[in-house]
Amino acid sequence: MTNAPPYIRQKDSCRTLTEDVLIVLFAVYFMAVYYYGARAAVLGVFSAGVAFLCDIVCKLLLRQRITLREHSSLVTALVIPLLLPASIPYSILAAAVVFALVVMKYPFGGVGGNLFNPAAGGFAFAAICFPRDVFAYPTPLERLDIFGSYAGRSVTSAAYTLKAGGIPSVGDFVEMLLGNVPGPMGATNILVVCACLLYLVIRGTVRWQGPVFFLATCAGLAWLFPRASMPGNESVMYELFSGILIFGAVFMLMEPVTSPKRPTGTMLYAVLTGVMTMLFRRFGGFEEGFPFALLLCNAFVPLFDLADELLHRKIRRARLVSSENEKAS
Amino acid sequence: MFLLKTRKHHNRVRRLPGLITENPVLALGLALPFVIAASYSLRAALCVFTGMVVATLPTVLLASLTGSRLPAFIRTPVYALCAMALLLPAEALLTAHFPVILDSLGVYFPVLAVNTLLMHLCEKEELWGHPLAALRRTGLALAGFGAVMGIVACVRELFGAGTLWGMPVSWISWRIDALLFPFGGLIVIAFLAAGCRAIGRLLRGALYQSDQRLQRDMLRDAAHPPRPDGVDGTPISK
Repeated sequence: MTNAPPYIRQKDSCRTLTEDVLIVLFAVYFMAVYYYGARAAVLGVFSAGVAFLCDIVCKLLLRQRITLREHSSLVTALVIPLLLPASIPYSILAAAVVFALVVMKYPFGGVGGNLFNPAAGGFAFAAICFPRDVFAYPTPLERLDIFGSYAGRSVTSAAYTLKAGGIPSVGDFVEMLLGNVPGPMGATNILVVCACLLYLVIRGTVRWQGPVFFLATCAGLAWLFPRASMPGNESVMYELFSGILIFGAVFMLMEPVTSPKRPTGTMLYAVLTGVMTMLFRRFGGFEEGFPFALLLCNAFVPLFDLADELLHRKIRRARLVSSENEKAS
Repeated sequence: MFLLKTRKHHNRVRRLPGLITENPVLALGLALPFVIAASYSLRAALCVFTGMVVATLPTVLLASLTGSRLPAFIRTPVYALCAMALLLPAEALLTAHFPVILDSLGVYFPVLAVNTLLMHLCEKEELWGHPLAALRRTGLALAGFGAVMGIVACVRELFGAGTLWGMPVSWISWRIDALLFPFGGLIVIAFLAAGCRAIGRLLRGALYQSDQRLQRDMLRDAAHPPRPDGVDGTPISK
């Protein structure tokens, strides 16, 4: 033996998990570039650059090893622009990324130590400080200037109309699936995001229970309590396809550090997040409630893990006792 | 271990409990809701700090005089009643000067009568029967509370609202609205606490290193004492 313990070898590592997410994020960026032009890609590169600088500064301050083999900050940096409109000013994006890493991630110890989802924190910060820029969207297929501020006419999203108690007039169901509606530049491409979810579930990067139970809870609540006078199935469609609900379920809900470690805990966590998201959407101040609900539910994850561990310990003990009784008899 | 400077520093700092060590807000987490709720502006911070001083100082003095004589079950209600009686005129006085601030503070001003800092100091048994020590200890704790409150209020008002004591600051061209929310206050306090800890650790580290150097010099001198005059051909001094 030449290396220090532990000698456990596993195929999956922190690096492979983040690389899987990066691969699918590139697909989402491809669609964003298709709808909004090169500005979408430049926003991603800029965000990654800011995250890289923050990483270096924070690691130097914390006396941690600086390495290029760890990509969790890059994932955070690439997720944040996709939650924002393509017209977002670069300064706001930089503020969101800096907040996500310098306030939400590194004070808790950095990689693997953060209690709250950094991307959700960064988005929440930007939404609270700059709501006018964060919730005003350019029209899809409009070519935006790569640099400089957006001079065109901004529009509101379907989530805003729902929040105001109206019925969105965003075209047909197929347009919503393809992402040809105003909204966050990465979150409106529902088909692509669902394909990403499939890939991540097959690769084992995301546990299926999280997104499925979360979306089922949101759909159930939308069907039971529509926010506008419309049939239940329409309410489900608009609630799920508007805002960042599905994108968040794929890329933020099941972040390995801030989600429960076992499937049973994951189910409970997903249901709680779903309920909180719908409550935030109905009673909150902003049209988008998922990041706030996620931050709130992140605080309960250690409790879910503890309860889950105690439950499994009891089950194991019961099985052991029954097997011993069988042997004795 | 040779810790001359470290011990000297420790003894010096220990004389100011509450202000430097054991800060009630940063180290003990006492009266945290008041700092978060009231530190959105310097004026609100001043109002709460005044209320805190008026309620805490005489009540702790009373506790130091009567603490051991009162049964345990009656002590806390007596302290709360005393603080309430003191807060009523203070509120009337402050309302005359800052009516909007007092209105916006809402329940946070009356609740000062049962704040955790007050109860913590009143129940310190080592202060019972020593009114002067109680006054000194309370004064230092209140100074620590006021210092934290002032710093947090300055940061939040300056960068959150772009003003200081209600007056606009010209060189602030951007604002971080989130600082005016309660979570903004929590984040500022958290960074302040972390910063204070880091500074303390750096200072202690520097003193320890200095002690180590001093010890090395002393050991070297002991191992190789200066040679007397005239040995090995050194000239005899006259």
